[in-house]
Amino acid sequence: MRRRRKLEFLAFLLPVGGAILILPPLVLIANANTSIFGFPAIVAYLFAVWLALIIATYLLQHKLGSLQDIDTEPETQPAPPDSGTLK
Amino acid sequence: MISGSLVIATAVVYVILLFALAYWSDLMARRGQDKLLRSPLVFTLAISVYCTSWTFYGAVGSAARNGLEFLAIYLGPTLVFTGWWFGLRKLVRIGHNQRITSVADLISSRFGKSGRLAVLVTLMAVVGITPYIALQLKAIATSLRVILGSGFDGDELAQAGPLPQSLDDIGLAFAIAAAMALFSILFGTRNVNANEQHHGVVAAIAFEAIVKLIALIAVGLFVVFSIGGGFEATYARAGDAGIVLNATDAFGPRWLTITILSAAAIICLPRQFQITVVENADERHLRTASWAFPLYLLGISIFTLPIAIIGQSVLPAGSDPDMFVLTLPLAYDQQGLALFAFIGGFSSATSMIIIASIALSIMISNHIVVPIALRSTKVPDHESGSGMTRLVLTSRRISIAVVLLLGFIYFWLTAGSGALAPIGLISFAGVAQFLPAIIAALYWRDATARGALAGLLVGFAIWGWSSFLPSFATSSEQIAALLQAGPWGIGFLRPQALLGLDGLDPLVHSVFWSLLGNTIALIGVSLLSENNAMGRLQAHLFVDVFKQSTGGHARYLDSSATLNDLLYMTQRVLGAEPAKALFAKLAPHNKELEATPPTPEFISKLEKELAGSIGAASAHVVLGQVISGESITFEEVLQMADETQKILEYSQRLEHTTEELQSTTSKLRAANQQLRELDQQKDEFLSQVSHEVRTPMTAIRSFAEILLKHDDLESGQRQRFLNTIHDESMRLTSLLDEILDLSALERGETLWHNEPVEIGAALRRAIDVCTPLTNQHNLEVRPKNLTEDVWVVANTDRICQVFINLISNAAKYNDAAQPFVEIDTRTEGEELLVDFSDNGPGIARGDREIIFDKFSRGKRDPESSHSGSGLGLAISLEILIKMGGSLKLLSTGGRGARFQVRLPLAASRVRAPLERA
Amino acid sequence: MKPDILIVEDEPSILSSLEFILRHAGWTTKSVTSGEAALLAVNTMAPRAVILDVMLPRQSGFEVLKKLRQDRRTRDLPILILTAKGQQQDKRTAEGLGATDFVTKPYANAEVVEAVRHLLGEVPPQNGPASDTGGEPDR
Repeated sequence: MRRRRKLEFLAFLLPVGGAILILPPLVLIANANTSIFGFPAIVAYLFAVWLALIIATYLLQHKLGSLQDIDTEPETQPAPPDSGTLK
Repeated sequence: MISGSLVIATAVVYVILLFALAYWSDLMARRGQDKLLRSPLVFTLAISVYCTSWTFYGAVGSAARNGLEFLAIYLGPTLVFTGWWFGLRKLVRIGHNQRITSVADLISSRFGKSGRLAVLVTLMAVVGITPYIALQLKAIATSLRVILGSGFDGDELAQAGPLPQSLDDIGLAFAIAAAMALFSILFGTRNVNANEQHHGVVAAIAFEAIVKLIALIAVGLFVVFSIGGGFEATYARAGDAGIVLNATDAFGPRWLTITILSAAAIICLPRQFQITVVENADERHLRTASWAFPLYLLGISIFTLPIAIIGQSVLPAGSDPDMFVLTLPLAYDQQGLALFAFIGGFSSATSMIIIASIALSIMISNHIVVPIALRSTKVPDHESGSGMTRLVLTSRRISIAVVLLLGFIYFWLTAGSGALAPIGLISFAGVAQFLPAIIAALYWRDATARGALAGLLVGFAIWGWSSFLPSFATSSEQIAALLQAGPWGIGFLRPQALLGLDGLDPLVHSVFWSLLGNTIALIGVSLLSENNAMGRLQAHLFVDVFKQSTGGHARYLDSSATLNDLLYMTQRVLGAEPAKALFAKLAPHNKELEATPPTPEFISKLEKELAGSIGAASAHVVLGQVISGESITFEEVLQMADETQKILEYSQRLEHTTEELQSTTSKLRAANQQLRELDQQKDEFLSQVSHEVRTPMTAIRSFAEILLKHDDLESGQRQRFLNTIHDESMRLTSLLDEILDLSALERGETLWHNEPVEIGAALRRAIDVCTPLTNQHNLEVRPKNLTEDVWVVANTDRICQVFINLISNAAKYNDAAQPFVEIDTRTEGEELLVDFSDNGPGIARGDREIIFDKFSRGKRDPESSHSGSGLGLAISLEILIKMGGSLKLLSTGGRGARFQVRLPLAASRVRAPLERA
Repeated sequence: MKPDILIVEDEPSILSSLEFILRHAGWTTKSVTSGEAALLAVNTMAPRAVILDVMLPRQSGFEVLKKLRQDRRTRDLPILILTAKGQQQDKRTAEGLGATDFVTKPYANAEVVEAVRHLLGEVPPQNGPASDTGGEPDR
């Protein structure tokens, strides 16, 4: 149960933290006239945050997935076939 | 040079390919070989229908004009997907549990299955999406014109020469709209599926997602590496291209607003809802989408800015930045790439149009057409359902045509107006009005249908006024004037400066006011209104969806509910221990509850047991929830509500009884208190009586003993002692008489009948009776203004008793040299007043309060041989009260006491004999 | 002349009977009918003992008793309380306030004479005025 709470907290933290990072005032810090690896700082920053969010979400969904498996039973039956035909 | 026929042929072949894919997918699905189709990857790609031609073409234009602002469109959805565990997962779970078919269905289901809400949301969605569809039409039309006009030199690209078929923009757009309508109808309305899932369409959309991504990346790679010379070199040209990346106001209110709007749109847009919630085959697919969809967005955005920079710097000034994706390859003679880009843009536009029009048509047919049809009796074959199916399909086909027609009309009316992105943002702001209602639906139990309705109406009205209407300003002078001056010159109502809030970006302004008004109305009206029974039930099913048993899944699996599920549910109904005991009784042999499916006998037994505690209908519904995942029908809910009502009534009766008991108890307590007080009064009274009796007794006994002991007393003394004994005995007798009299009066025994009494006669009689006493005390009785023929309702003997008491008091206590008492009568209104004023010592101030109390004698003159019991005034007062009158001690200026008797006058001066008869 | 006994009683008939009994027993008496008069008489006439009725107008016998006991000069003055409310409560109040003795109405004449004799410390019954010893009888 404690693990679940911890994971859920992380799952909550991701979008909130992401929002804090991409919204002013934090984003203004990156809005400087320098460049990183040839990318303007602000472009590099936003894409880096974005990528970091994606990776974090990817890592977390594995863990959350096990919780979801507890919540959700696997489907064993195929969905009923469509009755219509293509015209 | 790309020939028109090649372009058209490519597009047609592409469409045929999509059809084939859809057909094949449906076929596979029917055969049950849909593993790939129902995979998380396909789901994720289908969600990418979010990326329309706005993304494909418009984002570059947006980047060229506003720098990084376009990113906000993708960061909002990214945040929503990273937070999938709390938002989307709940939405999808509810979507499955409740068989939600659209965003309108979601909102109306949550708020008591309100038909009005569904209609409102449907209309809002149609109006809100119209600009978006127009955007796609515009993009296709423009791109088609660009690519067909590509035979001209790059310099002339901007002007985009005449089309071979000499079609103008409007005609082209209409042709595209018509083609798209046909396309969507063929795709989306081949059949009516119970769960509104379209496997074939989804597969085609997923394929289109791949095409548009690859096309855009291909163009991006070409632009960055062939033209720009790498990312670094490309970004180095940003300044020259006039794209300010570090604008100080780049991350201001507009950035925030667009982030919020795009986050709202990924949930609220009908097509996104359709794909994410309705078409979702498995809740766990969200897991993949949570990171893969943001990754897709990142991939499709990565070249946007470079393309904008290069386009701005190499293409001639005045070129439409929205078309850079197409014009850049064309300018560098990459016709194959340009064609591919065109197909990519075509994909993004068509996928949006297909899904959006399907989603809208489902809403229109389910929430507007079908309810109306069901009300009319003309529905053919209502029994078999085939007539219904035909009706639904027809209405959907017409709906799709209408939706596209509306999009075309919007395009036509706003022709030539600006870029793609602002049009899209208008739509975003429109559908974002659903967000407060959806959030309330998922998380706020007390949100009510009225609240949702109010919020949606207010938000939609403000959006329509401040966003939708101004979009026509370029083509309508009236609207342009309206924007300037406000309606009827009222500045406060100017669409883009409501309440005088001027100087804000129009989008920020509109979104701020509409969402604020929306939310306030939702919350305010919700707090002021109540959910009905259905609304409360649905609120519970929505808000607490994760607290419910595995019903979410059960709808696919008629036999998937295990004994364990039932035990869990029963525990919730009956409590843990009784539930376990019940299961031990009903299914003693089953140890492995997890794996064992319940037998029908078991279920019916369980239902009976549950019915015993929560009512038959409720038990049936609850069990149905778990076993078959059946959504609760309205009839069942009504039945349930009926039983609930009975229970409520019973508990109200119980409450009422309890209240009665409480009130009785408090009455008893009050009565007890009164009794105790009366008891105490009785004790005091007895104590006083004892004292009053003992005093004359003491004298009697003492003198009797003296007389017994001293027989040598002189006769005068002896005589005096005997007189004293006699007087005290008389005093004792009269005391006891008065006590009995008062007691009778106080018990309420009216031992007399009231009758009209002539007051003058009564007074004269009292004065006569008192004559010996007054003579003894030398008291002069002065009758003054003795009225003749004034009648009161009284008892003659009793009223005389009162007068005698007052006169004798005046006689006994008056120590003046020339004592007198003045008796004055007069009438005042309906009352007779009799004043007795004497010139005696008066009543001491401190005694005035207690003068009418029992046994109180006031200031006693020790020298006078008074023999009052102290009950006279108390008795008089009691008598007068019984006659409806009163007795008061009036204040006198100086010496003397003044008593006032008030009695009600007889209604008419009828003679007593008549009255007696 | 200094009286043996001051009678404080507002009921005229009782007052006259008390006067008769006590004078017949050989004591000199003086009578007043109110508390105020009693306080004045005690200080001016300096009686050897006081018979005090409780139910007096305005100022009750208990209040008079309390004032007499607070005064240093009359702290040890023998006082007999007469009450018509023959209740234990009144008796306790009287004792609490320092009454020397307590007699309930209606009384036997002999009872009063006996009580006064105790009050005056004239233990052997005698006719005629006793010596002015003034001691408080030990009860």
